[in-house]
Amino acid sequence: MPLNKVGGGQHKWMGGLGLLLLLILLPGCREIPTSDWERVQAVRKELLRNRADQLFTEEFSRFEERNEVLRRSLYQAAAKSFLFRTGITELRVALNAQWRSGDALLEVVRRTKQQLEAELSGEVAVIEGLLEARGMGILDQGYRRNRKEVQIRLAEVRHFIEIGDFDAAARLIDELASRSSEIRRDLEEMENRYSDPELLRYWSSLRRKAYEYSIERPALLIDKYHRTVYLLEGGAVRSRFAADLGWNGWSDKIREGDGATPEGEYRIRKQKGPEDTDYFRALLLDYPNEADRYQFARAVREGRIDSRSRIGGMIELHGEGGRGRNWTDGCIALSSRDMAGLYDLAYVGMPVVIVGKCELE
Amino acid sequence: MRKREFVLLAVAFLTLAGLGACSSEPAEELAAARAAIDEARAAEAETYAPEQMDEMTQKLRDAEAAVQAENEKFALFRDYEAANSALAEVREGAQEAVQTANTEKERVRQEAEQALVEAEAALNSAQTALENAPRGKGTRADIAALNADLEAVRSALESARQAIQAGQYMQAKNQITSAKSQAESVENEIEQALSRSGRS
Repeated sequence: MPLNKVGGGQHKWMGGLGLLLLLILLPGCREIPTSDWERVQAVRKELLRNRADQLFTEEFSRFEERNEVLRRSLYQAAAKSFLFRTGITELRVALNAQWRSGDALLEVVRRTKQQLEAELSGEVAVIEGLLEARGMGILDQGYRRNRKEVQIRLAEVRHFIEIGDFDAAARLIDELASRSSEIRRDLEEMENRYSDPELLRYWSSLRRKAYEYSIERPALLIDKYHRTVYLLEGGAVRSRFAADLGWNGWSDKIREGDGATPEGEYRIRKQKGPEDTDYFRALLLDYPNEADRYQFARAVREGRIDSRSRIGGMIELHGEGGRGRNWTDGCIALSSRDMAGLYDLAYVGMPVVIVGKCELE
Repeated sequence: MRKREFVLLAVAFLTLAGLGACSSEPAEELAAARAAIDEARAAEAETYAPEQMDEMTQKLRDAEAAVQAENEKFALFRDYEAANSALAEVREGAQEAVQTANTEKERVRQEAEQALVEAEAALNSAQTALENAPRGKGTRADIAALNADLEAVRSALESARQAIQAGQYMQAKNQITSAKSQAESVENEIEQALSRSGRS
């Protein structure tokens, strides 16, 4: 075979092999990366499902902007015929980077959701704890209405947390913050009375008197803050009983109908058996005393109460209590069982000292 | 020869005409698809059919990208068939999203109104229990406090009623659910208070 013919045959064979290789390799570099795009769209859906658009608005906007750029590049590449497509490898790299970015954002969103859920639930618990008012069972109507309105809205907050709408939950918590501030202020006003140094000194002096009275004969000391009646004998505590006070028991009684339990020194004026009271047994106190009359007159003079108000009376220790909250019109209610024991030890003229708050000796 | 030249000319003309038919940007179809999406948005499909709405919005963007890509080609090689098909799907999908949104909105409205009826019944039941509670020193303060609680529930239901009238059905439904459970808890509290006082 002539040499030139042999050489010409080899060149043709190698050219054909090269073309075949090219046709095999080209598709891989020019195929539209559809599956990479679908992966990016899947992570986008997951971000939306987890409310990334609400929780991380800026980051999600940037993700969307990059998405649009990639979408246009994808369609530009698809519009070109197979052999003329370029930049596919770079597009694939960019899509992978977008997917990684979305996946990282998704991880942050999930962690943030957990934290938000815990924080918002914590805030709900704080507000609920505030509403419990340390178990005082406050029955004041204004306070109760506020409290119930906040409880209704708190249930909505819990619902928003459950469905993952943290934006709505946070907005509602902010609205409730001002309502709960009002409640907190009301409670603080009530609490402040019980940390007033002058009042504490006055109550402390009353407490000492009660102990002195008890040296000769039993006496009663009533601590409103702790809602406790102490039976004192021989200068020491002999028994203690849980007490329910007036529905406005935090305050010192000034007039009839204010729901407050009076503070000061009193004596038992009358013992009432079951035939004389609806509340098992009762010990009628000599409220109002001189100090109460003085306080009432001053309140009228200063215009703090209506001049047509009456000072009131009929303040008793009685049974049918033990309800764990303040519900009376100013009386001190014990459980009927405790009242049975106390009634037998009481006597007309027995000192009954009522203080706002005290520490026992 | 003249006949052959005439035939070639006719074929060339027809080919160019055919190419031209596919080469004009589908402006009307784009406008119609965008209008359909706007209409779905106005029908609150983003609230009541969010996934459907997002799918159609994404499909519209795909179609717009496809149109843009074809626009960048030499006129004779433009082919908007795929874009047209996608735009038709967007119009149809957006119309379906409107229907889904309207159906869902109606369903939520009915649920909200039914929940309101039930909540008002619970409130009335609690109010009746309170009115029938014996009056006396032992219950007077409790009754006054529970009245205040019911007043708060009444106020919440009124707010929910206004939300229904304003078409905010989902918000109303949430408010009603929590108000109703509070009305029921007040009624329980009334019963407990009565049993504590030895009366029921």
